[in-house]
Amino acid sequence: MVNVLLVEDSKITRDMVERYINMSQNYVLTTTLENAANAEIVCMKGKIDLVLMDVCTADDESGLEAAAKIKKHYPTIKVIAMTSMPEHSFIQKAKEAGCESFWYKEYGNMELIDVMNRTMQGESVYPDKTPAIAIGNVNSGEITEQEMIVLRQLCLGYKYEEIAENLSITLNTVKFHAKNLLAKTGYRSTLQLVVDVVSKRLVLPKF
Amino acid sequence: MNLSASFVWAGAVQLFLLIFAVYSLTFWQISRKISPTVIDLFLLGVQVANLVVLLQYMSGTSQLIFSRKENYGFLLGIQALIALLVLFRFFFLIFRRRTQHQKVLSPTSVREAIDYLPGGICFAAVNGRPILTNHKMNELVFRLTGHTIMNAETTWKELNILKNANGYTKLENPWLNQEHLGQASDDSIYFSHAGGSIWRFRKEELTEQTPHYIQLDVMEITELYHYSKELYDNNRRLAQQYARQQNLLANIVKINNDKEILSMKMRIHDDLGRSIITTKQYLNDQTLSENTPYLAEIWKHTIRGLEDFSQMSPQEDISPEIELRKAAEMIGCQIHFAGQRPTGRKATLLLYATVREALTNAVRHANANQLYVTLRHKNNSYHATIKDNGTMPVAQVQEGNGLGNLRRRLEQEGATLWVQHGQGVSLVVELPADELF
Repeated sequence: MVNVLLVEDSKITRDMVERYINMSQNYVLTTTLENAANAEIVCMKGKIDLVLMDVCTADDESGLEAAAKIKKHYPTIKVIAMTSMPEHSFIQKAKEAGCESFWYKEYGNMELIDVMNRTMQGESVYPDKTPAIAIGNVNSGEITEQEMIVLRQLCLGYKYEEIAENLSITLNTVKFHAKNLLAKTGYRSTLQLVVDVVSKRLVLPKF
Repeated sequence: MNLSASFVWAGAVQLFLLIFAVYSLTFWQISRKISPTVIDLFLLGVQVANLVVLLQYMSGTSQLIFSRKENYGFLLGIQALIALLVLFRFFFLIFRRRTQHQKVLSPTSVREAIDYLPGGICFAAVNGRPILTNHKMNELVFRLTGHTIMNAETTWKELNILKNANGYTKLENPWLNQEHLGQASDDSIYFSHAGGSIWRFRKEELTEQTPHYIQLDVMEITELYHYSKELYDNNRRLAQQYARQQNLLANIVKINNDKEILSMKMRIHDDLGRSIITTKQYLNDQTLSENTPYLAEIWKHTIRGLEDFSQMSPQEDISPEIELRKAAEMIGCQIHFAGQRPTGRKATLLLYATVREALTNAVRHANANQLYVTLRHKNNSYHATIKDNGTMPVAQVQEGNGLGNLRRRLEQEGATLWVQHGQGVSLVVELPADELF
């Protein structure tokens, strides 16, 4: 039997995952947490084999940071990061944190139970790419890496001058990227762009 | 004409030239402050010596070689040469004086110049006595107050009190004195004219030199005013957008959760509606009995959705303390809280982050199974001491990643962390109450 720790603060997903696990033969749900910061504590006594870790959890605690801590102290525990947010940086961050696998709750056609099975067999299961989200007139895939970095800074609420300073680039470069972003997406102002990007969860500033 | 007569003439001319040269040099020195140069002094010397020679010659006492009769021609030549030199020098200086004259400002030219200014200006002594006021300033002040500037300070006070006069209305917009219109200055008064122009009066004390002066100036800033107004409006709109954006960013996760619940509700609503319509359809068609299994299926589905939903909404908020205790108990450690918990969200989160760190360290390094958190509330801050019953006396803890990260996070938020060594390790943290965050 595989002992599972579920970290998830959305009741809907929690109920769904709990039902999955109860139906399966191989998994036992040890406990459910809402706050990722508590996950490391539960892992301490070696009772957990698999952590299903939501990325954005209660009290703005990042599941990926918690995952990194767990993997550092208890490398044998397997971690599956899961999210409903198409935020483009999560996959990369999950890999850096050492998560074995990554599962999108809402996108893709992979069942969670498959991902769990394959992960427990030693496989690492990651989606090929972030789900494509329509931002204005374009698909999120058409936004370049550089533009994405600037966009992320915009979503963090920085002004052009601050972005230039943060990224050590010139003000004109920032304006250039911002202008291209607006031209691509067809928005009139960066505010419209940011609202769309954030509400579609392509960028989540806090995580 | 005989020779002695020519010498008398020459002497007279030389004497005239000498007087003329001395006069012009003295006059220029006084009126134009042009000092005689070495050349001028040398020429004067030559002239004086030449006159002496001429006088000697005429009195017949001269011993000089060219005063002999056969050298008269040479002597007369010298007279002509000296006269030429003096005249040349004179015209040269006249010419230079003309060109210099254009560079030197007289009081009249200053007055003339400031009268040409498009704006008004008035310089006054510190007590307000006007020293120099141009037409424009007097004209505007006259239109506003009914008289020209008698005393700059008094006029300034009058302008401050004045609300409107003669088609001019004072502008009181609060943003006018902000940085939008050039230098920020509290000493500015703005009037708009019925014709649409905007005028700015400014008062400034000139203190760079002694004596100090007061300067009043007035300028038409219509264009600047409109641009600044636009800029101000844009900035205000931008600030509002920024605030809205911040708000959106802060609440995005919650908004999304609400959205998920809403979409769930809508799905159930649709399911229920569809089930009712289908059932009604079968009832109307009198085909209920044939379709019973199918109907049972869709109703079961709908009811299952409703059951799930009744558990699901509203999302209850588990307090961070309950979950933390639960996690601690799972690893065999009990947390005992004593004292008043912080009420604010930030202080609460920081407190539990500290307790969490203490807990992991106590269990991992000291094998503890009890953790005591004592809280005290005093003067806008919370003071928490966290101790464990660990068995391992630690002489000196190395502050590793966990504690270091915690310390950084706490210090960023204005809290302070102390690590105390004694019987085991205890963490002491001072958290500002939320109104100070």
